[in-house]
Amino acid sequence: MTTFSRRDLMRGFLGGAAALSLGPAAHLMAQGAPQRRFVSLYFNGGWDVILGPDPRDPGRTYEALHTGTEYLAPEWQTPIPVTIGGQSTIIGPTMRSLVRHMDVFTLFRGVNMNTVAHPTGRAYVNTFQAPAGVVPRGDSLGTKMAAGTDPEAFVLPNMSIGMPTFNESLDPALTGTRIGRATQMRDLLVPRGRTLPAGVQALLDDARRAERSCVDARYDGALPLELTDGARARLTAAVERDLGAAFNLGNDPDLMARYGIVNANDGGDPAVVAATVARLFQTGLSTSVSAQLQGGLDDHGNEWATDQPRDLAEAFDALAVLLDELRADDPQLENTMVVCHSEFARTPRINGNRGRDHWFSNSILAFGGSLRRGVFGETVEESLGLLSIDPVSGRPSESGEVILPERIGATLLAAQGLDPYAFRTTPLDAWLA
Amino acid sequence: MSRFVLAGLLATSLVACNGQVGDPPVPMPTQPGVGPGDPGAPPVVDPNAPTPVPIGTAENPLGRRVRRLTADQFHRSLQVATGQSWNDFERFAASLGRPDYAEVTEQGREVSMTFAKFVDDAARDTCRRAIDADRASGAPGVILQGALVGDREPAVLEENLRYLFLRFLGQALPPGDPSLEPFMRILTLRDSDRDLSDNEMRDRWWAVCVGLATHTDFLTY
Repeated sequence: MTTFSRRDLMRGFLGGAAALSLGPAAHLMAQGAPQRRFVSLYFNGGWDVILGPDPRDPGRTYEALHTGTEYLAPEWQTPIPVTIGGQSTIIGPTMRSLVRHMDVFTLFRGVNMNTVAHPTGRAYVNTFQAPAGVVPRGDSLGTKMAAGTDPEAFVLPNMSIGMPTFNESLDPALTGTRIGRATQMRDLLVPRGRTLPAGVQALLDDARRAERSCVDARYDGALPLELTDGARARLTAAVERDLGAAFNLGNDPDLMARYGIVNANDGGDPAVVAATVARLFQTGLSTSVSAQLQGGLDDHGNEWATDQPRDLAEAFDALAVLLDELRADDPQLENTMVVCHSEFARTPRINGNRGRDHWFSNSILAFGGSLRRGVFGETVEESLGLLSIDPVSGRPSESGEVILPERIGATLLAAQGLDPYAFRTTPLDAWLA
Repeated sequence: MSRFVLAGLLATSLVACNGQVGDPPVPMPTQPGVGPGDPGAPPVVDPNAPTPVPIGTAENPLGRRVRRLTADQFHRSLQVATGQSWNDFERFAASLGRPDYAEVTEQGREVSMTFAKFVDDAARDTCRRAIDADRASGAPGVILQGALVGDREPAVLEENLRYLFLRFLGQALPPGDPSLEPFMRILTLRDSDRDLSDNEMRDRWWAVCVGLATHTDFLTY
């Protein structure tokens, strides 16, 4: 098994710390070419793609789709025309702040989630592999992506905020570190409560170095003592670098203003989540970060008209600022990929409670990475139904196929230069840049 | 396979450090049915007895895999060992791997930095309160059971340390066992000729308690 090297860790750490002190724009100068980075952002509850990545013309009526325009505030009624990779299209009004990032955007529409059950869909977008019932199968996408870098160069190579992380088949060093909420990063990096006097702590550290375990080297699994030693070494390195302050977002008025953060202690605020994700890269702590960016999107009732567009816009606004920060040192996101997803979409028709229910025809957003920019796929204009898509052109075709998340996962992995074997399907080669 | 052989293998696997995991297999009895309380008697086979359900071989690695305590197991074990409850447990239970059965349905058992961090926080908090409670009570306590913070005699310190190894790790160590030495250093090492004050001795016992509550053998089974 991989052993954790404190020297390697410090190398990555020192670069990150130096970059942080100089601000995001100086990150490139401090570290040279940026490390490969991956971000997976989850929208919990099932997002309404009609208000976001797969909108319709509000001036038209559709056979089996209700835009719900009459229930929406004026600011959420009109889609925005954009050009993505040379293709003209429209995006929902909640994505307005992302218009400045269309040059690094790849939009996958008409992805078949094959489920309208929350746990199944969550498991699916966690690993991008079809789950067994509600049980995730395979490794989290973030874990797979972390495999593309040297995990020993990072304290927290694979970080997960507010969502589960799985590592079934990869190096234990890639196993995700999970915290419940973004604000717990501070708790993770700063000792809580009373601490031992320094001299006594040093004696305890010595005792730990001499620790013996019941389980010796003849055991054929991962040795618990090695695992605890590795975890303690990472913890010691993190605490010694005194990075807790970097995650005390309230102490950085510029950051608060950039992200529009009102309460830095609100771990559920997408802006706090996004700023924390950015800090994980700026401090050099992580190479792959998965996070629940927004929750509470499961709007079945009349709250849909007010809450859904507001919550989507909050998340997309935070994402736009995160992309600004990531592009400060990697302008075309050549070494950075950001993926956004939800477990499924919401129905094209408005239900009897003036809300929308669960719908399997979904969209996946990708920014950066070695992907061809543009719009891949399409849904039935009149009904938000699924279509067969030609894997080369990305346009509807009778000889094409309905795209599943596995195909997208394989493409994302291949775009990061990794082996997509785990997905048991081939990438969309024509969409690799 | 004979029930006695299975029972023997199970007992072997449950012995703490004395029957190290990974030891070569225990020599098998040559006669089925030979075991304690049944010297040499051949087994009585009831032809009408139901066929035993196979439960796998004793070599099955899944059955012998070392596991990390779950979040709840850790919390409860710490309560039992120190007599104190970690008040922040609910706040960090999810980070320690407790499923919410809505989004997460499996127990997190990774020995991650998060686990190391919050286990350390919990141990420092509960151990300190346990020692403070012991000192306040005046009677033999949970941590200071056979020694007081005023004691400096190595034999007394080691006796209480052996008790703590048994309490936290289930290991009954003989006097002078090498596993005791790093912890004896915590209790006895001085950087000058000056005697340790009682408060300094309290901190030493506090560190010993934290060391045992975060010991690999406390956190795994």
